Amino acid sequence: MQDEKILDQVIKVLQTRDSVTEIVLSDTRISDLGLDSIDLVYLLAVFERSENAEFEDRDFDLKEYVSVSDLATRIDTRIHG
Amino acid sequence: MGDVERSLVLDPTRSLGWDEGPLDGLSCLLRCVEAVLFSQGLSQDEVANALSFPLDISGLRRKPSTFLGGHLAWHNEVDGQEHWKILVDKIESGQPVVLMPDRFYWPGDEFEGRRHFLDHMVLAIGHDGTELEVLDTDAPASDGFRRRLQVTDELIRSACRFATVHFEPVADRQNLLLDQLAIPSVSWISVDLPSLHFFSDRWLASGLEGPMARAFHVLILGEIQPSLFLSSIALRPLNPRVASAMGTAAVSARKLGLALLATHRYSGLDPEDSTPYNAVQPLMKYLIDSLQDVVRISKSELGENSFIAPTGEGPSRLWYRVGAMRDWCFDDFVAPPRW
Repeated sequence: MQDEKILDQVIKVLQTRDSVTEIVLSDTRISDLGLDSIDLVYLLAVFERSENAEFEDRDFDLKEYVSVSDLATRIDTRIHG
Repeated sequence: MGDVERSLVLDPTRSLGWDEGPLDGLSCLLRCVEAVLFSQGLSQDEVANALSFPLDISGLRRKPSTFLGGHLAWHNEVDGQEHWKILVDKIESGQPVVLMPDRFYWPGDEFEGRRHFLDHMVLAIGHDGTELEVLDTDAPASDGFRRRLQVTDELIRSACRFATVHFEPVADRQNLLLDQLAIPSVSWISVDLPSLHFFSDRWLASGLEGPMARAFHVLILGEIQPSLFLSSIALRPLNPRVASAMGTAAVSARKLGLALLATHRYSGLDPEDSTPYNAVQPLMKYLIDSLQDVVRISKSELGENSFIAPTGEGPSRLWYRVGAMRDWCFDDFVAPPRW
């Protein structure tokens, strides 16, 4: 089961993205936010630092995720195993 | 559009290291030069050799814009209209021009009308009086990375810095690569490592504010990553272990540079806010560790006595260099106020 705290943190970070003006929800599609692989580098770095998460190369592939929830789930997996 | 060199293209399938994006391996500037060299018939290996340059983190030893196979000749003005005629004469005579526009005036740019940032380069390849045609790594791939821009007063003003490309075939390859690339790079890295530690420690202690972070990404993606990446290709036939260490360090540099680029998007409107960049500071460690490996492996493979012992410039040198780059690329005083 996904840690709601992680999802909230992901949404909070995405909401600070300069081009994101809409409300970000768990089912918001990544493609609708205009994110690219460079965004992923920052987002995952945030959790590497704050949660000591270790990410694999494939985690940095944007095609791995459809929604914000997918992204949070992957981060949660890397933090909690 | 007259006198355009049609073989000038940005082609990810032919480019060096262009996998996920144009900043894999090279910078926007070097993508422009790479396109020129490919159009002149150079192979990938020849381009890697020609574009290679030793890594000088201090910025005091290598002459700017010089490479093993040539150099760029820059024309710099505060206002592009001062040398617009010179620029278009060159393009119309078939000479491609690397253009570093003032993004305040650059049409469609995210900083248009807001900030005088100068950190992106395009290759101007055509001009017919009403339109300027450029190759731009930021243009859509579906358009062949080409843009055709209306020539307006603003566009002309944006053209404040441009360079012409001057390269010759690299001869005497093996000795050149050792004496002018591997030896100086490793020697300089070894004495510049303390300045990377100083930068990292100061960033950790005091944070990194926006313009300084932008200048650092320019250094990382504009010089550090490309030097290491190109060296990893050029030195592969000479010593695969040294080349591999350079390649690993290039990946570390790319990761840090892209993370800085990404953080700009999340840093908000306050340029003094240093907190967003704290998230990516730990990536400095990977870069420093990988550069230490470059030095250790190179000295083991090529012999400790092969390396020169330049004088270090003090641990604060990199911090001050990045500060100077901030003033050159991200200072609102680089262009006069609009009238």
